[in-house]
Amino acid sequence: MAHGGTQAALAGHATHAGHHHEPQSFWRRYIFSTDHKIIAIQYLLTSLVMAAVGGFLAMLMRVQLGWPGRQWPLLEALMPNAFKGGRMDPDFYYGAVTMHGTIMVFFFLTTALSGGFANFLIPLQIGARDMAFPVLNMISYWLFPVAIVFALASFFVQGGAPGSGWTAYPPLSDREPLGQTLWLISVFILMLAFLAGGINYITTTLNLRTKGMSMSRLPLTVWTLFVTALVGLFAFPALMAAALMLIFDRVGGTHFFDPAGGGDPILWQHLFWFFGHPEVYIVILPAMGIVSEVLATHARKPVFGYRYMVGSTLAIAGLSFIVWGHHMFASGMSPTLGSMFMATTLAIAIPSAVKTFNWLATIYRSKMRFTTAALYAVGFVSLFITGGLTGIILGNPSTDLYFHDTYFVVGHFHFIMGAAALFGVFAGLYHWFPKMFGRMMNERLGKIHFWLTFLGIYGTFFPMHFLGTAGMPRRIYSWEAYQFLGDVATLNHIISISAFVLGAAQLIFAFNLFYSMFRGPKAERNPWQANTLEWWAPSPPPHGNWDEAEPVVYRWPYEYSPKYAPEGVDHIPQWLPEPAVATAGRDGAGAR
Amino acid sequence: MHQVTERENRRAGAVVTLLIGLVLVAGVASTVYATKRWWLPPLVSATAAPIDRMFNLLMVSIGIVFVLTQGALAWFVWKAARNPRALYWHENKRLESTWTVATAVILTAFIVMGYQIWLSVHTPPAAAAEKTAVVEVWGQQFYWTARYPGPDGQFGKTDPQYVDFKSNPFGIDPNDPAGQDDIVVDGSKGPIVMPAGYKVTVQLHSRDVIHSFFVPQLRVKLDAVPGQVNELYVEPTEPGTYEIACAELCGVGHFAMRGEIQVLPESEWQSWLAEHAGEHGAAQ
Ligand code: HEM
Ligand SMILES: [Cu+2]
Ligand SMILES: [Cu+2]
Repeated sequence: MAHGGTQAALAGHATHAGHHHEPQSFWRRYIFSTDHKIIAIQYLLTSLVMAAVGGFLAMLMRVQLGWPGRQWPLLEALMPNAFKGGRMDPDFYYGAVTMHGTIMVFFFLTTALSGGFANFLIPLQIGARDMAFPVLNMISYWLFPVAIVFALASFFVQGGAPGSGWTAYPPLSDREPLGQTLWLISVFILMLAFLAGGINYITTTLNLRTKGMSMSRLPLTVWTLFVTALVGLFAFPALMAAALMLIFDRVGGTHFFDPAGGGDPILWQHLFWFFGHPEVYIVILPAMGIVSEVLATHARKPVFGYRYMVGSTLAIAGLSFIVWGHHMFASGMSPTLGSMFMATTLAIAIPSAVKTFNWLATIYRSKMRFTTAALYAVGFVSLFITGGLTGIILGNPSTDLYFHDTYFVVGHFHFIMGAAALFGVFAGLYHWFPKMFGRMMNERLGKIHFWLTFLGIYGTFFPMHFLGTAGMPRRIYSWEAYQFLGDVATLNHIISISAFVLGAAQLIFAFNLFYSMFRGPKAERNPWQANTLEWWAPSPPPHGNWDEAEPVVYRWPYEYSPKYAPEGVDHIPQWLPEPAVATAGRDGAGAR
Repeated sequence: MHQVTERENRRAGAVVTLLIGLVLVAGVASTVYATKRWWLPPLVSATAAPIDRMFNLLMVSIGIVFVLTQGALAWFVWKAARNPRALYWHENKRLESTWTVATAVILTAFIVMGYQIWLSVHTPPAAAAEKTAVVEVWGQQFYWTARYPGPDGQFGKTDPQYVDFKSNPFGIDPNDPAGQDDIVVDGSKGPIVMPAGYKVTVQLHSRDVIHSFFVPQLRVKLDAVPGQVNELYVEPTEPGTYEIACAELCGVGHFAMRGEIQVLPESEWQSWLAEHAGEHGAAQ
């Protein structure tokens, strides 16, 4: 069995070998587990189920937008309340809009990345045995299903799911039925869960790094997950405060946001976007980290510009707190204030561009192994370029005045959040699956999944920019009444059909995931010949992670294809004391 | 584990190059095609001409960057499937600082240009300007209404106690002489009128939730927020009828909150004012 540690390396720090874990009951082991890896998998699987729910709602929305006014008797038979008389009920449509956005942003992307990957990777990649606060970690996970129950319950109460969008602007959200209160409670609980998780990630990263793992040797995934947790620490409380105030307005007779009682609806927008803009980076930063890591590993080439990568991560995190006003250019803000937000917004495009150039330079003259994980990482770069470029048009308030709240914005953020972040999740899943489950995923199915997803995404979201230039407002149940839109029917048919292809492609992924989990071929410790510490642990790692002592770190994580390495050796893992050891075999296996 | 031959790997790389190449070509081609079919609706506003110029400049710039970066990506991927060994190259301070600074310079240029336009569209017409008009537009679930000061140029006082949804929905005070000639237009029954060649100030209000006044052909969009008045300035150039859409989710009827603006030539505007002076009701 491949094992990277040499006798000498192990002997040097075999101090903590007595880290025993008693056999546990099924419940302690898989349900109320304090093991960061089990919690990670719980988070991941739950968030994937939520992605399926959110995706299903999206398909229903595309049914309506592709052919507004058409009758769907079959759907009526399945969902009589949503399709009264065969046509989708507008009330249901707006509930679907709200819940789709909420589920995808909060219950899927944020939880998959900052719940799933953060939990799995941080301890393993820094050489720790678990999170700093394992019980808090378990609580953080179990708050998540509670939040889900509150959110989904809104579909079944009087008045249905709230129809005010994921941004829940008052006074509309003041007037929505009971479902809106459930939504607010749900969001509040979820933010609590994320805060608990974030405290764990920050403490763990700062305090539990193994010997030799300095901050300048951290893998970029850990860097981004750590910085993301910091961003969350400052962003989530703003939304929690806003949610609490709105709950008071709705049930307690206060008027924080209602002008009829002296409140100010714009205050909500400031609080929401002070959270909301950092939130979009909470989603994309970990995906950026994953992609950097996956690219380097599968391209057999060091990440280009490690320092700039870390620096740009920090710059984005800092700047993300002073750009929120670009979501409010049309709210009637003072032009001076708007100018400030324009300058900071375009400033944040600089570190984003730096990252893109670094990925291109990493791929340049690499020797790529086109695994599914690598395909998703490359796809991410393409999607990020497309989505980032349209941000330049929106960041200019003069042009944004036309595009704000049109489908152009929908195209922009779906490229980045809906697609690039999704690709980050897929790249990470295909890459770390062998470590998580000790089995390999099917590569052929993975590739088909990638091709369909990549084309499906471009087919779905690229034409949305044209809907936007034609002037189609977002969040409309039907576009039929508007003459200035001209012939958007064609575009909407294309978009809906692409979306159905995209949705169907995910069934291939679901099959591959569950089949491989139980039936996939057994994985080695280090199937991709990677350098980071998690690949030194068994697949899957036991409770406590390291079967012997914690690894010791000797170098940065991106030592791929170094010049000094002998023929046939293209990587020097972090845990190997001497590069010479690598001569003993691909990952030092022969050295034992 | 994971045994892939060089040949298979090269083929997989070629497929990725093909996909990205397809995106590049189809992206550019569909955008060029869209300019003929799904582009900005014809412009009928003098104030907004610089906005369209800025948009064109930005579109061309990001188009160039799109082609260069996606092209580089496709090319590097193609090569990466064929290189015998990866290059050990992970830092180049000069290259990195060059592209950082170059990006910053280009973005700064965009900031400066955008800043000037942004300020210009927020500049109220000078008091001395000859041809000005004011219209008060109210959004409510789910239609627009408008009020004009009438021939005297003065809005009358309003008070909720006078509101009568049939005959005086704005609650114009019958005792205020300035209000006698005010004109109220119910946008759900007929178009809101504006004069061509005038600098028009639109004062936006909302009666209930946030709406957004969006007239694509005039290139204006501004939220109508309850409890505050937002002002926008526009100079319509072409007489004609243009649609108003609501751009802010305002409830189930949001998608149907369509209205119309009728831009009248100057002479017709004057006679329209005279003809409708004193109409406070919803009747048209
Ligand atoms: C080049 C960098 C970027 C720039 C200049 C930029 C600019 C903007 C601007 C100005 C808006 C507001 C548009 C409007 O509503 O009128 C916007 C919306 C949005 N952006 Fe970006 N953006 C960039 C990158 C990103 C990234 C990396 C993400 C996510 C990971 C993102 C996610 C979003 C989302 C979710 C919205 C819409 C929110 C909503 O209204 O529901 N953007 N962007
Ligand atoms: Cu933002
Ligand atoms: Cu509306």
